[in-house]
Amino acid sequence: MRTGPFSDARVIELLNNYFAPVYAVNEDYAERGPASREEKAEYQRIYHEAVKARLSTGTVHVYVLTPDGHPLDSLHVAEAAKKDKLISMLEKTVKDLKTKEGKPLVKPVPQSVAPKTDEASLVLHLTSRPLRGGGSWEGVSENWIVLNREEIKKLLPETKAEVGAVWDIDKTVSTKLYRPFYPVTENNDLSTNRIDRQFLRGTIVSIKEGIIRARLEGKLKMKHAFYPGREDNNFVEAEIVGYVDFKANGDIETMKLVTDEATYGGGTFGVAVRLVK
Amino acid sequence: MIRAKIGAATFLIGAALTTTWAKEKPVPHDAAWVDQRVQDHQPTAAEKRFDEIGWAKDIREAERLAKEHNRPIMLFTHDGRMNLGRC
Repeated sequence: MRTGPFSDARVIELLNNYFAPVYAVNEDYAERGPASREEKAEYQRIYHEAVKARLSTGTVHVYVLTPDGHPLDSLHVAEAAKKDKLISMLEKTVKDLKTKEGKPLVKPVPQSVAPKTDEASLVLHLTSRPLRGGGSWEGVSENWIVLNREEIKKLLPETKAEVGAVWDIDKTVSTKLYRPFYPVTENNDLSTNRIDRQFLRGTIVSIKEGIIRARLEGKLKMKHAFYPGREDNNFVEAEIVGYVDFKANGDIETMKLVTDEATYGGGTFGVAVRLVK
Repeated sequence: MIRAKIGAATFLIGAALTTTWAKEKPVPHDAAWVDQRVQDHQPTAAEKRFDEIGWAKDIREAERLAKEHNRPIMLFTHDGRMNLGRC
């Protein structure tokens, strides 16, 4: 939906100028999810009212509600993903309710933002995009990776930094970095990604004006099922290169990692990781 | 004479192959290559159009705004993290 109808100019115009748009992550609204009790109650009320009204219902669905919050219409995601069907439902709602055009009720802001962390932590931003041959859905996906003070220490060499020095980065750190190295699929539970082979190695290539630059090189083989809870034989295989700039006191200035010809499900994809804080 | 011709042909084929391999030799993956590759993989403006929608932060905020401005609500429920493209 993000790269389909929700990126379409007419859908954006309708949602901004005639609706109060909102999306709800099912995991957040599950019994143990972080949404408040009141939020969960509203989610349940809407669902049960839609069932009672004999509308199409489900967990991955678009619902249109009246201004006082009662279900009016709905579409299964497979239908809503066809933008003309979604536009048709939205336009019909506007016409039936005689909704007046106006400005967006909420100022549009980036929906993917860096998590808040303590001063000592590092935040890395990851993007993953399909390149050739299919094997995954279209579109760019993102992840935010936070390394705490202990993990940062494990990323850097323990011994005195000298040009030519080589070290293997602690596997707990490379595991944290590598787990989101997969293209757009339906399974986004990182704990189900099983790393079978991996390494990430640093080599100091220069020391200039107090900045130590290390080249990073690694390899990854990781089992990643396309659908949640459904076994398949899909593996991520990737070669990774990058660099990290740091000071002798352990402060990291820059860090970047990219895949070189990563494969998954018969296609290729590319991952880029960069330090943002 | 024939041997000499075969030898010359082999040499030419060998030279051609060497040239091809030289051309296909991968670009060294230095920091500039990494920088470019990272840049190439960033989401484009077209891929971030989803951010142009003024999303309410949760269902109750959408309900409050809808009531206040007499607008319908569009609620999308889904698995995963749509804001990250992981859904």
